[in-house]
Amino acid sequence: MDNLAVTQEVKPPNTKKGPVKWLIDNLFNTWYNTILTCFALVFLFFVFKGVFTWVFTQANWRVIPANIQILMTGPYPIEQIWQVWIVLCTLSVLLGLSAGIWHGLVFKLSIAIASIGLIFLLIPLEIVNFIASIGPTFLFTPLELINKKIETEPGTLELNLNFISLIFFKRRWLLGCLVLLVVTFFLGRDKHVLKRWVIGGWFLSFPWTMIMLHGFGENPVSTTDWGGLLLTLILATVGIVACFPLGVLLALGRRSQLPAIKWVSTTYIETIRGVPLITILFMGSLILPIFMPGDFQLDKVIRAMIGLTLFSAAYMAENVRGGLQAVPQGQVEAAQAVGLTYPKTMLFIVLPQALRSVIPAIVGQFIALFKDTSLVSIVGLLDLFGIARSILGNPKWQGNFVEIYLFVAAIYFVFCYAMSYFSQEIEADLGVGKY
Amino acid sequence: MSENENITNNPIIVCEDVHKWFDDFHVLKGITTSFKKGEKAVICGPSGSGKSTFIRTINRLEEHQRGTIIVDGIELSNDLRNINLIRQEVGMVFQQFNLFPHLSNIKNITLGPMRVRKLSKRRAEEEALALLERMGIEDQAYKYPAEISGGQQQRVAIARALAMEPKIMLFDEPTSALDPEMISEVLDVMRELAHSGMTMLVVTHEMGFAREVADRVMFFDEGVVVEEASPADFFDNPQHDRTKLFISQTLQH
Repeated sequence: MDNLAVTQEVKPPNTKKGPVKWLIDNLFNTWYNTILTCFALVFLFFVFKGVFTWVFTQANWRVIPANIQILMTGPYPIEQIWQVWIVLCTLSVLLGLSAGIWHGLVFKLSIAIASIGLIFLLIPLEIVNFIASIGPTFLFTPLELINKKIETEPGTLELNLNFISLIFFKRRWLLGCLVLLVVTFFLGRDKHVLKRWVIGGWFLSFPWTMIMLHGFGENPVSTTDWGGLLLTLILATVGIVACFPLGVLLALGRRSQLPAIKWVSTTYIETIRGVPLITILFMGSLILPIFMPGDFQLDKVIRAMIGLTLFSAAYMAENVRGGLQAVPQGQVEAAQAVGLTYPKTMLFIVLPQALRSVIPAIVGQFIALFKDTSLVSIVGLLDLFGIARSILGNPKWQGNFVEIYLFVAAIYFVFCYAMSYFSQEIEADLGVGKY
Repeated sequence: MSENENITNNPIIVCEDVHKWFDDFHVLKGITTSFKKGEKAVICGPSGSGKSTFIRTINRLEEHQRGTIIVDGIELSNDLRNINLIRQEVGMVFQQFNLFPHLSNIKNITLGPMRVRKLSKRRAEEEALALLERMGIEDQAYKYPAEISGGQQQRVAIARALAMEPKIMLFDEPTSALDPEMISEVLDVMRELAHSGMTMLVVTHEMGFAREVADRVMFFDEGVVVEEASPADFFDNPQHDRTKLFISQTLQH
C-alpha cells in the first residue's frame, strides 16, 4: 500500500476563538440569550454594588485590628506571648531545613508560608483603621486631602508610617521567624545527612510545642488560656497527625482475618460514625471526669484532642479501607511470594497503592476535621470560632458580627484551601491516574 | 527427554494426598507426587482442573486442607515461620505478572532482597541489574512497569522471583496474558532458566515448550492427576482417553 506513505500530514482544525467571537457565540447567539445575558449583568451589577458599598462604607473593619491579638492567641497572657513565638521560630527552623533537604513540595509549602508571613510583616494592619476613618471614598480621595486629614486628626489615625520601627520593633518576632526560615533553608540545602535529625526534630516538635506553650517555672499558662487561631491549629494538627495512623490501623483491623480484631475495629468504627462529634466532645468534657479516679483530671484541651482524634479516625479508617479494597489481590500474592511478611507487605506494597488512590478522600477528611475544631467552642474552649463569639459578647463590638465572621471564615478558607491545593500537588507528584 | 543430567535423586517437593476445597467445591482430590531437585515439570489440563491451585498450595498462596506438603525438608503448616521460610525458597511467576505498579522495575526486583534477605541497597541493585541483563532488558531498569510491554513485564517478574535466589520456581500460566509476539521472548528466558538447572513447575498451555523442556508432563482433570509421563510418552503415546482428547484438542490449532 504505497498511498499510505504519500498521505499528507493533516493538521487539526483551528478551534481557537477570539474573546469577541466567544462572547457572540456563547452569550449573544440568540435573542433570548441576549436578554438573559443583560439580566444577568444587571443582577451582578447590583450584587457587586451592594457588596462594595457594604465593604467600603458600612462595615466597621476596626474590629479586626482591635482584636487581632485575641483572635490569634485568645486569652494567652500578652507578657508571655514570646513562648508562642519561640514555638513558631522552632517550626520555622524545621521547615527551613526540610525545604532545603527535600525541595519539592516542602519547598513550595515554605514559600507559601513565607509569603503569607511577609505580607503580614509588611502590611500594617493599622491601615484598616486609616481607611475606615477616611470613609467610603478613600480610593478617590486626592492625596492632599489625606495628608490634611493626617495633620488635622492625628489621634484617629494610627497608621504607623515608620516602617523601620514597625518591622524591627513591633514585629521583630515575625521578622525573626522569616529570617530563620530563609537562613535554615540555605544551611540545610542538600545536606542529606541531616535527614534523620530533621525527622526526629519534627517528632519532638509536638512535645516541645506543648511544653513551650505551657511554660515552666512560676507562671505556667493554663491550657484554658490557649485560644484563637493558636488553639484551632493545635487541635487540628494533633487531630490530623494522630487520626491518620489510627485510621490506617483500624482499616487494616477491619479487614483482618482474626475475628477478635475485626470485630473490635468494626464495632469501634460503626459506633463512632453513628454518633455526632458534638456528643463525643460533650462526653469528653462532662461525662469522662465523673469516671476519673479522685483528683485526677485530664486537661480540657487534651480531652478535646482525644475526642477529635477518635472521631476522625473512624472516618479515616473507612477512607483507607476504600483504598485497600482497590488494591488487587495479586499484589498481596506477589509480595507474599517474594517472602515479605504481612506487615512488610502492607507497608511497602499495599498501603502506598491504597493511600494514593484515596488522597482526595483523606484530605477531605482533614479539611472536615479542621473545620470541626470549631465545635470545641461549645464545650467551653476558646478556639478561633469561640473567640469570635466572645468578641461579639463585648458591647463595643456587638453589631459587628458580619465583619468578624467574614474574617474568621477567610482564615478557615486559607487553611482549607491550602490543604486542598497541596493534596492536588501531591497527587501530581505521585502521578496518580497515570496508570 | 532432555536436561535430566541435572536431576538428582532427592525429592525437593513431596506431596502426600493433598486435598483442597473452595467452600463445597472439591478442587484437589488427593494429589500424591514428588518433584526431584532440578526437575522440570509441566502441568497442563483444562481450566478448573485444579492445576493452578495445586502449584499455589506449594508456596501457601492457597492453604491445603488435608494431606502433607514438604518443601525442601520443611513441612507446610499453619506456622508462619515455616511459610515464610518456604516462600523465600520458592519463586513464583503469575499469569498477570503482578508487578508492583508504584515501584520502578529495579525496585520491584530489589524489594525482596533488601527487605527479606537484608542485602544492602548497592548489593541488591547490582544483583538486580545482572538479572535484568540476563533477561535482556537491562535498559528498562529505571522505567515503571506500566511503561514497558507485557513480555518485558513478565521478564521483570521472573527477575523479581529469581532475585530471592529460590531453589524452586513456580510458573502459573506465564504466557497466557501475552500477545502472541511476546510469548517467545518469555519462553526463551524460561528455557535458559531450565538449562541452568533450576527446579521448575510450569502450568502452561505451551505444548511445544513442554515437549522441549519438560522432564515430566502432568495432566490434571477435575482435581486429580489423570496421567503423568515423559513428554515423549505423553504426547505420542497417551494412555488415558481424557488425555488423548485433551492433546488432540490442544494440538489441533
